[in-house]
Amino acid sequence: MTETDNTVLNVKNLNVWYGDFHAVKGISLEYQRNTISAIIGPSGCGKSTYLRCLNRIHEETPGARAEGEILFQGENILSKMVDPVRVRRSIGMVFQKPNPFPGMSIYDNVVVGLKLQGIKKKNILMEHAEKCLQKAALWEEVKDKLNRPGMSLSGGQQQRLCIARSLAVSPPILLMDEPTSALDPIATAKIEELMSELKKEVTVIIVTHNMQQAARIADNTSFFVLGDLIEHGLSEEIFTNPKNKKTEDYISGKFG
Amino acid sequence: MNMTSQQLIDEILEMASVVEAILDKCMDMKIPKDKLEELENKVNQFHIKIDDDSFKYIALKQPHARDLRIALSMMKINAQLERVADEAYNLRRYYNELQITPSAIKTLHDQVKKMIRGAIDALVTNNTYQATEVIKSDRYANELNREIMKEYVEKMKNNEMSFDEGLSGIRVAKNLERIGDLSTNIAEDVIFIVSGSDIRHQSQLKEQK
Amino acid sequence: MREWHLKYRKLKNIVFHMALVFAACAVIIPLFMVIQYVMIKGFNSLNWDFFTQIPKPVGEVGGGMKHAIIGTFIIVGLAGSFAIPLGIICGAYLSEYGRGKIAALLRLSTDVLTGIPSIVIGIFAYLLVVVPLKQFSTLAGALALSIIILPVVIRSTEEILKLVPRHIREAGLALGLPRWKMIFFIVIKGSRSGLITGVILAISRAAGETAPLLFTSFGNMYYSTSLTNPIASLPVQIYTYAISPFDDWQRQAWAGALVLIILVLGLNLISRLIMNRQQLGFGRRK
Repeated sequence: MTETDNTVLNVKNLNVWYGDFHAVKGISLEYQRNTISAIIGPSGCGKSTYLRCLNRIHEETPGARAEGEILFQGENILSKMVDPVRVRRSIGMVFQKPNPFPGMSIYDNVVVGLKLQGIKKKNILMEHAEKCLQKAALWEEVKDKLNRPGMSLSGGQQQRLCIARSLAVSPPILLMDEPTSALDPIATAKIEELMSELKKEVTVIIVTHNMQQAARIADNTSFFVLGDLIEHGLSEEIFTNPKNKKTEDYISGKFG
Repeated sequence: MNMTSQQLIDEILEMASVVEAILDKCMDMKIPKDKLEELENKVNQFHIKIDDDSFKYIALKQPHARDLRIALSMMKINAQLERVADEAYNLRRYYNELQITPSAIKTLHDQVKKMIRGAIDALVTNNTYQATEVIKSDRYANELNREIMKEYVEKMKNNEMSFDEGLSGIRVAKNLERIGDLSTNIAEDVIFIVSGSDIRHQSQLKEQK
Repeated sequence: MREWHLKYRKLKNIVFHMALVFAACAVIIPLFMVIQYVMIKGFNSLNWDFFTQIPKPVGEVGGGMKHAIIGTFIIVGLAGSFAIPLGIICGAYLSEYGRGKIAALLRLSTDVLTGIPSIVIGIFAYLLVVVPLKQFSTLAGALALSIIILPVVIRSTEEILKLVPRHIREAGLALGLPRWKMIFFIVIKGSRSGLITGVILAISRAAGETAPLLFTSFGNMYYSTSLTNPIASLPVQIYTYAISPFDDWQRQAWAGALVLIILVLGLNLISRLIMNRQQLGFGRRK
């Protein structure tokens, strides 16, 4: 696949090991601007490991080693010469378990990324917080209680708060690691709804164990098994007429 | 993919307006053949697109209940509309053979135009009463068809009419009658969407055959 | 037959329950007895003079322990201002970077330090500060107490910070924060109340230590705030008065003991209130 002007992230031959275990085996994928790309596959297939390399959070896991290239804005962000802190300001992440920071109010949670980067002016912070909470479809529900603790919200609201928090630092790419697997169906539906608005500003890469979710929200879908990329393409092709038999079997529920 | 069931319905409505235009113009010899061909091509494009969109909608959005009934019914109504267009387009050739048009054919034409309009309106307004009226009025269309057949057969027997003309006239009436049947099918699909009931093959609503 | 089994089981439950209640009473009753006894003995001596005056000359009745109360605050305050920041930083180091040889050594040292008898710590401070300065001093006392406070703060800090789940830290890093900012502004700041509780408990322990102060800050019958001179403290003053032959001094010793108990109990209760308030405030709504 040749890189086009619309490519925002280009992963080339990514390999990841945990000690001796080869978790991700030579995967190459490209991501286009303002799209939602989903990664599906049975448990233990390396989806989360792959995703965590894209913002170098894999380095937090002891024993993890990654090789290959991840090209973003003209440089290989996997290289040791690149500061991971800088990478993570452009590639944000929302985790599986909603994790508002303890001891901080809703408002503090949203602006913490900005504050710690040195932005102090209250009106700028407030304006930005409102915008991000609106993008995360949470503003109406919390606008009267911004000073309440972040952890006093329900699970679904906490996750939307985490989304707002990630959006506050304006990353062009947002990674989501099974963001709704700890939530009930209604909270899940609310988050899926806001994704279609979200992609107008941000490119989303989402790992999900729920392939129906991938079918519902993703423009492109990649299918992994045991660290290998089996198939990838437009969701509407993968889910109506996949080319690989393994993909077909997985989607029809025959394994995984 | 952000398709909704309402968008599928909107596509069907667009297709229906083209089909109704063909039905309206098929007996108007002042309109050139290639104009009708253009409309027929549009219908074929809709036919392919709507099936594809419905298929993808079901695969990607996993619709349930009413949304699922809509997606399935749009595929069926799609096929029925395409056949209406076909029947209308094809009857033109036979209509051309007629020296005079008996009023019965004109009446039958008006009747089936009303029926298809009624079925489509019922779809827009979710009106099962209107759909039922369409189904009931199929009886009248069938009667008209039988009348025309009788008249033409009579005339052919008495050598008042040539075989060519006679058979053409019967053919025109037959196509129109089929269009009436197809409108009935569309109305049955509308009732399925609204109420979830499959009322096909139930004799209370149709005439005894 | 079945009925008998059921009654037998119920009986066992009751017996066990009563044994637990008895054990609880065995712990609670002595505590209340001690507090009650000290209150009876010392309450009448708690007057304005006690808190605002220094001791009268030997033999005279009256006077107070103002110098000792303030002395305790000064020594403990000084010890804390050194040991608490150091302890929190070391505790944070152990919880955030806790693998490797240095961390293992630090943990070992902390554990050993908690086990050293406080009088030995006093001797150490004596050798380090009293001998070179050739006199007893507030500084020596503060050094001794800080060595007592330090390991407690380190351990409690490490345990509290370890309670913060890993994905909170990852979320902080994922925002593009450098590690030190994540540790300081998210992990430590978010564990505020737990850390404060640990600190308060460490301080309340140190405030009651007597042995290490006997030959470091030594004690003083006069009011002094000088860092390089001997200074009075509540525990030492209580000890001095208690072993004396004077009735008035013994009366004041009971009063001092009461004040010390109230101080330590008070700190404990405050730390509990802080923990409870945090839990109430951050209770999860479902």
